[in-house]
Amino acid sequence: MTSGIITAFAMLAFLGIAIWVFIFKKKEDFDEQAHLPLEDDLPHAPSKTERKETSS
Amino acid sequence: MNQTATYNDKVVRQFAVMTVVWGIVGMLVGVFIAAQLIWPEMSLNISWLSYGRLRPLHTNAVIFAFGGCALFATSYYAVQRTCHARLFSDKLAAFTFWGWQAVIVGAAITLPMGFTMGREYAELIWPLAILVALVWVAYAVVFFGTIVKRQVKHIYVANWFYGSFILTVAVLHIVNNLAIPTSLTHSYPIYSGTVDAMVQWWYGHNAVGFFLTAGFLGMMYYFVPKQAGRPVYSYRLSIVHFWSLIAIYMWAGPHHLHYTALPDWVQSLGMVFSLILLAPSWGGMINGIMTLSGAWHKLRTDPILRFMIVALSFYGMSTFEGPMMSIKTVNALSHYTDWTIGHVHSGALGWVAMISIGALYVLFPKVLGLQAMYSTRLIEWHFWTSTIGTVLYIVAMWISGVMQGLMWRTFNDDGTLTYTFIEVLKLTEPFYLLRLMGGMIFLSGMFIMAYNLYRTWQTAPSKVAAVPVIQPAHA
Repeated sequence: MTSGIITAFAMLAFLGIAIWVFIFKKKEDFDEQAHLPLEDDLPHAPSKTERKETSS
Repeated sequence: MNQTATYNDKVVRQFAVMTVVWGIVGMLVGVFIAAQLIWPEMSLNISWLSYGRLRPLHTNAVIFAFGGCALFATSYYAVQRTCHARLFSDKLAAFTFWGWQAVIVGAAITLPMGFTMGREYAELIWPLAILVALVWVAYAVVFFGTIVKRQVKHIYVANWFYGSFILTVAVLHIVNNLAIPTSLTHSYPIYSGTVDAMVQWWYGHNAVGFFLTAGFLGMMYYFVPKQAGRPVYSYRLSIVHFWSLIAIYMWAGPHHLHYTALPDWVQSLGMVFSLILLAPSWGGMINGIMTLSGAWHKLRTDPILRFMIVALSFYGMSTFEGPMMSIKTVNALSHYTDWTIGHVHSGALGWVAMISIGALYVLFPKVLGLQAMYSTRLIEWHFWTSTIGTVLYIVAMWISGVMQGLMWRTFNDDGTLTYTFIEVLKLTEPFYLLRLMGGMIFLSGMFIMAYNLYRTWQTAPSKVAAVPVIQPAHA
């Protein structure tokens, strides 16, 4: 009985997440997050990587 | 926030280098035992060279030493960059490195000596298992401590995957290893009978689901967008991917115990959950591959990206094969045959190893203060050796596996077996040779990688300047 209720609750929670992500949130709402891995070495950063050009 | 803070790349570098080292060691042992299956006399009657002792050494070395070091290296790298924060504690991070290496060395000594708990993928004796638990708690503190320190509001999806991998593996490891020691090297599990089997495969399959899948998906969600230079195809899909994987994976373990003493309903439950798993797995694969949508031309020139996309393709392939094999009637044919070994290696070589190798090629130059690896041509060579090696391996195991399954269950009219075991064994030999070849080709790629890394290291500045923490564009 209890396990059934927990399972039903888990399923509803998952459905809730899916509905929230696809209906309530716009694609643009996630743009900032999606760009996180691309912003961690900005071109203006004083990176030591710039001075060395390796043949490739 | 502190403007002069730098990233802790030292621990990333250490783990990344050891990934290559343990990769070579683990795969070398794999090649050795693959040869032993053809020429058993290779062990020369030396007990610690026997197949039964080296096989767990191979699995532990490739999963936990190679895969583990790759996960440590990439998770430490990605969590710092996406949180714009230095690792929580340098000392604890150093402890995770040296502690993990100690576990690996301990495994390399005890397993060939024959000390084992006898639990698949958790063979290490209890003192080593305790050390694993300590290292893992330290890992969790470092990882989640860094997330707490973050300068951006959001926790990037890769960190969700890495975080779930760290948490779940802690729980799995501790529950599966509960045992009562009788001596320094021996212990009895607290479970017995069918319950013990179920605990072992609850652990075993979740080790696949969270260690070999969630962790490496974290790697995928950071390094694929990074190398492609564009954000992940759909961030929405990544959120649903994460939660569906979390919700479903836990229950798939019973498919390892079809037609055993395990209650029938548990077997069916495991099968159904395994089938449902296809959805999140393919969702994740599509999300990764479609990240390249509009930039497919990059595949032509960038072997690193090719590593990642082929890895995702193998991920898709093995996550289709897995649910199919979990269907009881299919499992009746495939179980206990080489098909299982082929399935594991399409995931392990094709997905886990290739995504790690791709991520490492991105990571090495960055933590060595360079622009790129010494040679892109060598990466290209590595790519082809990995791909061809994997394909040869799995094709060989498919053929021999299906052949074994079919021959083993062929009966005569009077109910006796049509084929003797040795007849089947003889027919598998050519496929074992093919598998050995595949393994050797894959291993040769790892040597190419080691050479490329060595030459890259030589061009690196003798003292790599620490990379400053970059201020987030929008906090």
